[in-house]
Parts: sequence; structure tokens; C-alpha cells
Amino acid sequence: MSISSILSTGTSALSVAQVRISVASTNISNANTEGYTAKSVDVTTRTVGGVGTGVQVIGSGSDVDDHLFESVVEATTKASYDSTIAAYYESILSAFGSTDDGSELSEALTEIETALSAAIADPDSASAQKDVIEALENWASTVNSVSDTIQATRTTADSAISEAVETANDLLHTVDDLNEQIVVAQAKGEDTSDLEDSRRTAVKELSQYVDVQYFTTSTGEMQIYTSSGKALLTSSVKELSYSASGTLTSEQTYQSDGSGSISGITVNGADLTDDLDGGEIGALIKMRDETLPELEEELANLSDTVMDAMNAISNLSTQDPPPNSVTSAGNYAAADAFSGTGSMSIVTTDSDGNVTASSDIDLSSCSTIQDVLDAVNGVSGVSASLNSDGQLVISADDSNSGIVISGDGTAGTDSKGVSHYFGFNDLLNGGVGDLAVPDSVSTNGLPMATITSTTVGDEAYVSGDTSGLQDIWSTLDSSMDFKASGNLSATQTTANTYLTNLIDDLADRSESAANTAKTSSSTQDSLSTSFVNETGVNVDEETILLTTYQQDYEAASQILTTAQAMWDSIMSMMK
Amino acid sequence: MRVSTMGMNSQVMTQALKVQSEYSEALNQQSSGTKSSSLSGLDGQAGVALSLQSDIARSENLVTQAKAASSELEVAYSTLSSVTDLAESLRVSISSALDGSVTDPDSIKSEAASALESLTSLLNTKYADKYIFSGTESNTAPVDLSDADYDPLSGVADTDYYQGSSCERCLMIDSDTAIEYGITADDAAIEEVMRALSMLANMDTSTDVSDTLSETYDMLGDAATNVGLLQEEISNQVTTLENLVTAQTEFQDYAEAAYDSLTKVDVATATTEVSQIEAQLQASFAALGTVTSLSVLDYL
Repeated sequence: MSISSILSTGTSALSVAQVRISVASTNISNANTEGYTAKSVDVTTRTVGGVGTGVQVIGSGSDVDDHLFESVVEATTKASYDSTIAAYYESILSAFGSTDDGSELSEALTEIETALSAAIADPDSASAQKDVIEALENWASTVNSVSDTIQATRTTADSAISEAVETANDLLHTVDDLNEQIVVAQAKGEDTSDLEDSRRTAVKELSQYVDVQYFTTSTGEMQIYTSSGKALLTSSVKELSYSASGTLTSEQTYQSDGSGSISGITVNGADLTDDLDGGEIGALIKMRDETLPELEEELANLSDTVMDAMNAISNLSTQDPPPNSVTSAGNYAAADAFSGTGSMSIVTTDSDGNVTASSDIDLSSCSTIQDVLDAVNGVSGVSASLNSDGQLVISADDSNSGIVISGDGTAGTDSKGVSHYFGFNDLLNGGVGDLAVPDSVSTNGLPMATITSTTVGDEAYVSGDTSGLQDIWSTLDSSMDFKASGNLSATQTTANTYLTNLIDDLADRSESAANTAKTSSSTQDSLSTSFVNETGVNVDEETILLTTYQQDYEAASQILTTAQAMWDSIMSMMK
Repeated sequence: MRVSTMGMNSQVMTQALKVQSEYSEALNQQSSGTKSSSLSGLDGQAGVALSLQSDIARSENLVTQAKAASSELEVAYSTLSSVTDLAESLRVSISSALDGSVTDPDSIKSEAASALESLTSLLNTKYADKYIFSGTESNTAPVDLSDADYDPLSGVADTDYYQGSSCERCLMIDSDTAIEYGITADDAAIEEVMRALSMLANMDTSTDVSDTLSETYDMLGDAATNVGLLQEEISNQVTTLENLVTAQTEFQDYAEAAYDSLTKVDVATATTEVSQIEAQLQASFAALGTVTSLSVLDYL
């Protein structure tokens, strides 16, 4: 054992202490860096010929529980998915109503009944009739505006998808860059733990958007796949490509066979939309393609059923006095096919509402709209034609006469009454989004009275009769047949109850989505916290270590001082 | 268990923020009095709350209409009282003529003519700008004596003076029930008064009028009784409407209470909850303070 070996041992202790102090300082300075894991230095005894000659660093790095991190990634995907779903539910729920203001749709329905009952009590009042028309218009515009909000929310989801896809691509590139650096460093035998920290942070962020699985190859390269196994990053990034469709309408849908007008999210031309079912992107796709269209369908079912029920009744009634001409709601071409059974009575009335002429048309003999036109034109004193919009117009030749359409005839596949089929006396027409009150309602007035007779000389209806309006009122207050739609099953109930069921179901789903989001967010919180606690820096621990290393350093210096003193005493001995 | 500085700090901070958000929610409840401004915060009762809301609105509307109908009926009732008064006062005159104390039948003739005018104007009474004896045709004056078809002297009942509708006004209660209300001026009792008055006003006083007088005396007596029955009918209608209003008002009280219990918070509970959360929030902040101020350096 020589003095120089003591010197060398002391030096090795000094340098190890320096390395350790340096690592501890880095740890302390990164104590609050996101994703940073605490590093430690591995040392071993340096031996020469079996004799210890000091200490040496064999490496440094951090101890990371990869399984725990995988759980964090999974929990992050789920939390992000759930919170996006919850946020969209809450936002769309507010379009249907709030606790303070109630539901506009329900108010609009009630308003129709209120206005109708006022008109029934006083049918002669022009303002009461106007109120009914306004209430119908208000219902139409409320339904349309809720539908607009649903579509606007779909549009928001759609553009959010495009932003999320962009962010996901950026993150894939970040991981790819880090992969390259790690592979090179690992080949050189350098420490890659800091690079891995950054890569882990990027993967965790990516998992917010996409449900991913990943593994690391022996060269240190990380490969990323979707949960269904489609590659997103292997040796290079498989970029996701998506362009938002602009303002969406209810007709615009995504179809996995590519037939829809909303394009899919693709990788090199292959549609991956159905594979991206997790994370924020998965939630946005679900909202855009499933939840919101379902709601639109439920709203349409409500609106169509109410419209149909009201029109079916209003077409059994006539205005007081009957109008000189009636116009169909639908548009036709002369060659359009027509199928009907029974007969349609074309009745003309004088100014007192007495029947002046009445002819029955056999609908089973008509197979096209032209046949109907010809049959009606065959009735004297009455003309039928298609106007420039293709609407079927039936008018009395005498400008003082009124036209009443009656009869037991039915038409179309669902066997509607013939007047209902053509919509001569409709109160509402169009579908959700373009629901409207036809102009004829304001020009001809409301269908007030039920048709009592088609016999010439009789009164076609009783003047002052409001049973037409009463029947419409009763229809609104009675059970209607609602078919199954969206999340709601087929049911027989009143319009208002169907609406409250619809909103109740939406509110329940929103509440449960919020609870799910809360749970998954706290799961994610607790897993992330475990991971950070296990791998992160504890400043107090590092401070104590720092003090210990400082003492190590001082002790090592003492070794050198001692060796120096020994050397000095030998030198002085030799003088 | 090992903790990391960042993990511990952020966890304590997250907990404090969570308590803070609960605190803000509780404060909102306390200040607004409602459980939640969103329908999703009503413990799954959104549908019931909305149903109640629309039931209340409909009930309020029904009450408004029933009250309006009721005031209209009260006007009709008092108008019919005046009709009875007219008939009764003429009967007094007729009976005086019949027992010989009044000798000039012309005075009765002119009294009847003016009574007919009064009757016409009574039946053409408007309430809230609506003719109340015209049935559903409230813009049309119910009585027009100059109607070409009207012949009160034919000896049989003739309601051709009536211009209104044969349909009564009605109040929709539910899909199966509608209350019809009001009296139209073509009612037999009113027609009889009208015919008796016309007969008196048109009698030929140059001849013996005692038959006409005794006939109209009986007619007016009979009509007055029947008008009384009409008034009774109106009373019944008013009672029905008043019962409806009472029942609906009670329903509204019940529904509003039920609605409040679904959507409103109990102020005392809300206040207590706020102070509880406040204490918890203070504890959270204290923990945060301890975590940030505690350092091993102070002890090395």
C-alpha cells in the first residue's frame, strides 16, 4: 500500500461525492418539474488485485415502476374521455332547459294550449286567433333553435376533433424525436433517464387524446399503437389526418363505409375513426356521431308526432268561412305516383257556409297526381292545378265560394286522411330544423269547425262552432303514439310528458356522466400521485443527502490532507 | 410510504382547491336558494320538476280563464235580473189595466215599446268588448229586431232576431272535459219576453186589448219564472267555475311546494353546510401552510 494509492483512493471518493452532489442538486432544482424522476448514483468499491482502492460510479438513473405508469396512462385516457362526455352533456342539457328558467320547449307547448283555449272561449276574437298562430310559430322556432344548438354542438365537437388530432400528431413527433435521441444515447452507453422522463410526459399527454398502448424495443425505441392495435408510431410517425367538415347539419353524418359526408380520421388513407374510441377524440366522436344525433332524433320524434297529431285533426275541420282555395303542404310533379282508397269530397259553399255543390272523387282510380288533378277538374265549378312550387291548389271558380275538402278517403303508405295526406289544412309543416306554420294558416284562418255535412243545401259546418279547435286542444292533452327513437323507447303518452321524459333522461345521463367523470378523475389523480410520490424528488431527502455528501467530500479531502502530511513527513525525514 | 415534494404539494393543493370548489357551490346554493342551476343537479328529478312547472302554468291559465268566464257570467246574471225587473214592472202595469185602474192602453203600449228597446240594449250588453249573449260569436250583437225573418206576432216562438251562434262558449279542462257556459239570447225564456213585449208594443189600441193584455200578462209571468231558472243555471255555472278555481289554486299550492322541495335548498341547511365547508377550507389552507413552511434546513 503506497501513499499514492491513498491519494488515488481519496481522489476517487472526492469525485464520487462530486457526482452525487451534482445529481442531488439536479434533483433539487427539478423538484417541481413535471414528469421529472429523482435520479440516484450507483457506486461500487474499486478493487485492484482484490484490494479495495477507493470507490467508483457505475451509473446513474431513476427507478420507475413501468406498470404503475401504464395504469396512469390508462386512467388518464379514461378521465379525459369521461370529462369530455360530461362537459358536452351539460352543455347540451342547457339547450333543453335549466332549473331557473324551465324548458322553453315545454313552455312553447303549454303556450299553444293556452292560446287555443282562449280562442275556444272566444273564437270571434282576432287577437285570440293571432295568439294561436303566434304560439304555433313560437313552438316551431323553439324546436328549430334547439335543433340548431344540437347541430352547433356537433360542429364544435367536430372542430375539436380536428384540433385534438393536430395535438396528437405533434405529441407523436415529440416521442419520435426523443426515441432517436434515446437510441443514440443508449448505444453510447449514456444515461437516458432524463430523456425517458420527457418521453413519458409526452406519452401521458398523448393518452389524454387517444387510447394508446405502447412498448419499448431493446434499442430503447418506443412504439405506439391504438388500443385496437393500429400503429401510430413505429420507426416513424403515422400521422393522423382529419379535416373538420365546417358547419354540420343533421343530414351530415360519418359512416364507417365512407358513404357519409363527414370524412373519417385516416392514417395513410386508412380510416381509423372506429379505432379511436378512447380519450378526448373518442368522446368527441361519440358525441358527434351518436349522442347528439340521438337527441336530434328524439326531438324530431317529438316534433313530428305533435305535428302529425295536430294536422290529422285540423284537416278534419274547416275555416269559418271556408277559404276560396286550398293549397297542399307538399310539392308534387304531375307524374308523381299516388295511391289512395275511398273517396275525397270536394264541397263548395256559399258565403253563409251552406253546401252549394258536392262531388266525390274515387281515389282508388287515381294512380298519379295528374289523375287527381284531372278528377278534381272534372268537378264543375272547381279547378285544380300545380302552382310554380309544385303545390296542389284546389280553388272554387266563383270567388265568393268556399272550398271544403272532406270524405273518408285515405292516401299514402300510412293511410292518412286524404286532406291530411296533401296537408290542405295543416297547422305545422316541415321537419325539425325547418318546422314552420304554413302561410295558409294566417291567410285562411284557423280550422275552427268540424265538417258536419256534404249534402247540398245543408250547412257544411255550424257557424261559431269551435269543435275543430277543441279537438286540437284535446289532442295536445291526450296520449299520442311515440315511436322508439334515440335513447327513448316507444311509448303512448302526451306530448308534454314525452318532452319531460326526454329532458329527464338527458339530465339523468348528464348527472351520471358527471359522476363517472368525477370518479375517473379521482382515480387518475390518485394513480398519478402514487407515481409522482414513488418517482419524484423529495427536497428534504435530497437536502439531507446533500449534507451527507458534503461530509463525504470533506472526509475525502481529509484523506488527501493526511496523505499530503505523510508525504511531507517522509520528505522532511529524507532531508 | 415515500412522498415526493411535488406530489405532496400538489396533492395538498388539489385537496384545498376541491374543498374551495365545494365551498363555492355551497355559497351559490345559499345565495340563490336553488339546489343547482342545471337540471342535472336535481337528483334525477328534472322530469318531475319540469312537469310540475308546466302543470302550474296550465293551471294558472285555467284559473285566469275560469275567473274571466265567471265575471262574464256575473254580468249576465245581473243583466237577466234587469230583464226580470222589466217583465215584472210591465206585469204591474198590465194588471192595473186589467183591473181597470189604468184606462189608457196606449201608455202600456209605449211602455212596452221602450221596454223592448231596453231589453234589446240589455241583451246586446258587452263585457270586455265582447257580446255576452251571442255564444261563440262574440263580435256579433245577439239581438236585431229588424231581421227580415223575425215575426213576433205570428203567435209562435220565433228566434230569428238572434244573430249569434248556436254554440256555447266553452272552457277546456282536460282532454275529456269541457265546461260549456253562458246563456244565449235565443233562449226560450228570453224569446218569450221579447215576443210578449212586441205583442204589447204592436197592439191595436183602437180595439179591445184585454185578451192581448191577459195573454201577455201570463207570458211575462211564465218568462220571468224561466229567466229566474236561467239565473239559477248561471249561478250553478259560476259555482262550478269557482269550485274549479279553488281546486286549481289548491293544486297550485301543492305543486309549488312539491316543485320547491325538488329544486330549492333549505336555507338553514345551506347555511350550516357553508360554515362546515368554511371550517374545512381553513383546515386545508392551514395544511398547505404547514407543508410549505416546513423545511429540513431549519433543523440541520
